[in-house]
Amino acid sequence: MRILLSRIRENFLGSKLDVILSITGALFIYFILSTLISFILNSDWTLILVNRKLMLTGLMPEEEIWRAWTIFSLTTILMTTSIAFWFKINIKSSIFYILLLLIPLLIFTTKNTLLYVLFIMILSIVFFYLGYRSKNSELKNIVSRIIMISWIILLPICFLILNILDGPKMTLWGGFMINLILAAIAIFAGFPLGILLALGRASSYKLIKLISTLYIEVIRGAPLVAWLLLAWFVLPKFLPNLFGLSDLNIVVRAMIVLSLFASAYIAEVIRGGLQSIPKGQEEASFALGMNSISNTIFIVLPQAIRIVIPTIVSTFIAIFKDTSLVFILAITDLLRIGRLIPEQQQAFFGKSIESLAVVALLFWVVSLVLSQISRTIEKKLNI
Amino acid sequence: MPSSLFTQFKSEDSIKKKLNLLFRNRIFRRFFIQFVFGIFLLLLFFYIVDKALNLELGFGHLSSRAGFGLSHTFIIDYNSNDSRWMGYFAGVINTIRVSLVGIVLATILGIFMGLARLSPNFLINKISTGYVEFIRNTPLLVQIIFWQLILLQLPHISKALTFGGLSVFSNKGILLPIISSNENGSLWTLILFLGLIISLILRSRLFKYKEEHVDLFSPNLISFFTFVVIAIISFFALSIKLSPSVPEVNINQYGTYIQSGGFILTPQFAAVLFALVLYTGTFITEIVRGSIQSLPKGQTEAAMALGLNSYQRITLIILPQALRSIIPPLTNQYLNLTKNSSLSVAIAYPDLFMVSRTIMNNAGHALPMFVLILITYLTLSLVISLIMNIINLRVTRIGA
Amino acid sequence: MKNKVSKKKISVEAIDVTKSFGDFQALKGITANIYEGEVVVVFGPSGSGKSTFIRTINGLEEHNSGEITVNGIPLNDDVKNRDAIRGQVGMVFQQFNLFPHLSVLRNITLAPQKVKKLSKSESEKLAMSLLERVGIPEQAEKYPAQLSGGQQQRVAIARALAMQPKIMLFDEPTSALDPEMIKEVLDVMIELAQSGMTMICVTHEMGFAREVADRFLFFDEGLIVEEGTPEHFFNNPKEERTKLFLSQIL
Repeated sequence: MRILLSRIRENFLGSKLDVILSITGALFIYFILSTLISFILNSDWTLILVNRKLMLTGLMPEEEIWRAWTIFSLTTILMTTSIAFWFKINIKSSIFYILLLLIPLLIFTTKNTLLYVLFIMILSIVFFYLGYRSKNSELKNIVSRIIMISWIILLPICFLILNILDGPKMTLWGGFMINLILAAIAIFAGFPLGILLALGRASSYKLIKLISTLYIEVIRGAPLVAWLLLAWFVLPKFLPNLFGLSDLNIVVRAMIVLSLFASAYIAEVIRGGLQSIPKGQEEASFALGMNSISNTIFIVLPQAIRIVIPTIVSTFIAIFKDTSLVFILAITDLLRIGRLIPEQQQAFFGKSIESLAVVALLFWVVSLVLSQISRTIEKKLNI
Repeated sequence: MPSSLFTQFKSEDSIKKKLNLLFRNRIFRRFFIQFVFGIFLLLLFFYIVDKALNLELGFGHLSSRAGFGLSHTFIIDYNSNDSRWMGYFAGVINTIRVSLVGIVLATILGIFMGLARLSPNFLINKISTGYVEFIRNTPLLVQIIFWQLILLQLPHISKALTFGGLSVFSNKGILLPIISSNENGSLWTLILFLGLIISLILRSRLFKYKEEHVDLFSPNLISFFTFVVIAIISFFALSIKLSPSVPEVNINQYGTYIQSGGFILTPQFAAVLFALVLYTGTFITEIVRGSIQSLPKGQTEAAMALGLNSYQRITLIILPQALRSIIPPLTNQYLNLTKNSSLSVAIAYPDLFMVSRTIMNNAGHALPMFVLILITYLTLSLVISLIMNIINLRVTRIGA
Repeated sequence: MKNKVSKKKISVEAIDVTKSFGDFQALKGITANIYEGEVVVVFGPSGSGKSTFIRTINGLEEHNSGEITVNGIPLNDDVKNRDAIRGQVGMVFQQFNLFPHLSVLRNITLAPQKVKKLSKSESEKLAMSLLERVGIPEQAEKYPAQLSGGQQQRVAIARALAMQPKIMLFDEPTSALDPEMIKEVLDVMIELAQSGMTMICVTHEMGFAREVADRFLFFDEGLIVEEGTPEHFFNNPKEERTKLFLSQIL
């Protein structure tokens, strides 16, 4: 009891200022929490139940939803396997992950989808166990390779699933799904491009350095909405007439712009990493007779990227949040739908804040997961 | 050296050997690679120019009548009969307005929250952590819309909230009391601003002078006095009349509620401002926190051993040193804030981007408009970077 | 002192080499010959150009004028020449410059695999024998950060030797080491010298130099002020500057 009292004293009542701060802080927290709780309890949440499909997949027709389910199951299974394989599993973190995945899951389950959800959960648990067991066995390297390759081919496979057997037009893709897909593409395409730009900017060839620097500074000079608008008005006029490229739909154009935009920011992050590698590394490689290319690929780049992983992941999170800006191109992403529901559906007229809260929650969960991953990678690499 | 290469070149017989020699020469290689790259670039350039010539270029359309009104105009008077240039200019002013106020408020918030993040007081610490984790991971756009919705929840103007009759809170905006003046008011504000800069420069000069000739005067007092003198002289010279302006709500003859007096924070402006301040504030919080944490622990210990209290320790020892590593990433955040203000297009606050979009919708000419937008944002970024650079130089000049 | 000087074969020939960094001229005209099997120690005050000189030999610094020839290959703008020279010259740095993200074994096998196209097993066999030679075969799977300074520098020497160079350059190899670790590195260098390797060492370790060097080169302000055998330097140095410097370090 005494220890508790002195602890309280230390942390909250250190000095007069402390007392004031503690009281103000407590009042503030009370205010926020009470507003939040009353909001949650008093609102009509049937909004979510009715609009689940709309929010998650946009205007995709009902009969094509199986595609979204397939993608979702594949991703979940891959994610649980990876977590089991690479991350430290103890009671605390397991509970955290389970809760995190359960919340959106529970929100979005109904009678019809219950089977799907059960199926996914069972498969996930199976693969989780497999991943956990193979962590320490001799198959470690093979399994590791399989998981990494799976992640890389996940994106093309998703595209395949969305398009085979006469899939829905790209402009019908929407909702949370399109935010995720746009972010994934921007990161996938932007990362290698960013590496090239960073190397270009650090290059000793004056012309290449100039062009890289120009590109990066110009892209970073204007806000993303402006570049997206460019995709709408200007890009179509500049695309060549071959391969039907001049008729690209708006979603693909948005992907192009997002990738180019992301590459500039990723380039700057990598450049910072390149600059912090001591010159001696390069000198040692050259003294050993390696040429420039070997030096870059094997010595400089791996070290540079390793150093800046936390910053890169936070750039990825920023890219993901930026996908909400595609509203300006009339793409029906999650935020746009969240705004339109209260306006267009009679039943939920005026329930804008509830709608927005769900949108915010979804974005928040994904961002949180990503930053947790970043923290774990950081810890792993510091060993 | 080229001459030896030349002689070697001549001495080889076959073309193949000559080419081989050429490509193994380091200087030639560099030239060749850049040459090939340059050709490729040129081809790309011609292709783009060729396509671009098919578009409408030129800024002539900006001189014609705008034909649209703006909900927010500041400093200049604008109506739909003015040229589009005026409209664009009004948009730029709106952008600067929300960015400037945003930068100031976000910095203050960020510094406080950054310090709170490091506080031993459990509650304050956790509030700050919660603030950062929650706000940072939500898209800025969502937050802007959120604030707009909240502000629209304020009561209708007929039942507006007034706090002691000094302000008006309604869904048409927030009115706060302010001191207003007659027509030369903005000029006087400008003079005050210049006077402030002059007295600050005077102060630093006097301090330097004092180091060498230790006199009994106080530079602070002298420069303050100078500032006051400038203020008073200009006050009378411009015959400024100051009066408090208290917001009030009246009903005019048609039964419409009119609000007057004070200065108004429209829901749109306020929403963009609050969202920008809170969002950018999280990043500034992390920057401040990281900066202070990277200082060697010995600094705090030495300060405590000397008997300095927390306030002295923070303001005299910690912050001045942390400032050095704060400024470059801080500049970056300021630039981000300015560019993020373009999101006001989502809730119809007419910043420069939204005005440009309206013009593009009305009159086409997308490419020139876009170049204009680019140049404007680049200029704004440049100005901010320059100012921060000067501050950076001053901060890092002191000491090692 | 062993007389291994073979008057016939010149390993490194430098004729009137100059090098400037901006306005500062680091080398003002260096002329020197290093013979096969010789151990040459280069010393002098800091800023005298000694590090710059040996870095011009393998092309890490481009000389501005003069000629450098290594084992008959001229060092000029022809990349083939430069790469060939680098294949014959190994370098050990003051800061070790080991690759921190690779294991010790991989540090040593990387260049032989990539440049000399050795197979994995060949390069690993070579690497392990070199690790034995420098005395730390058990560290093969560790990472540089887990090793002491002396061990790291020995790995660096093994890494350079893995390319089977004919000439080894040492740029102040023990200057960054704690005193108790200097001996283990010097022992390796002594063994190397006794095995007949041509070595050019920039160092302050006069005891080592005296034991192993065939010739000294004294640098000051970008020029070779005096050269000769160790006896000559320690007993009756000719130039004033040499006498001054020796009095400061001995």
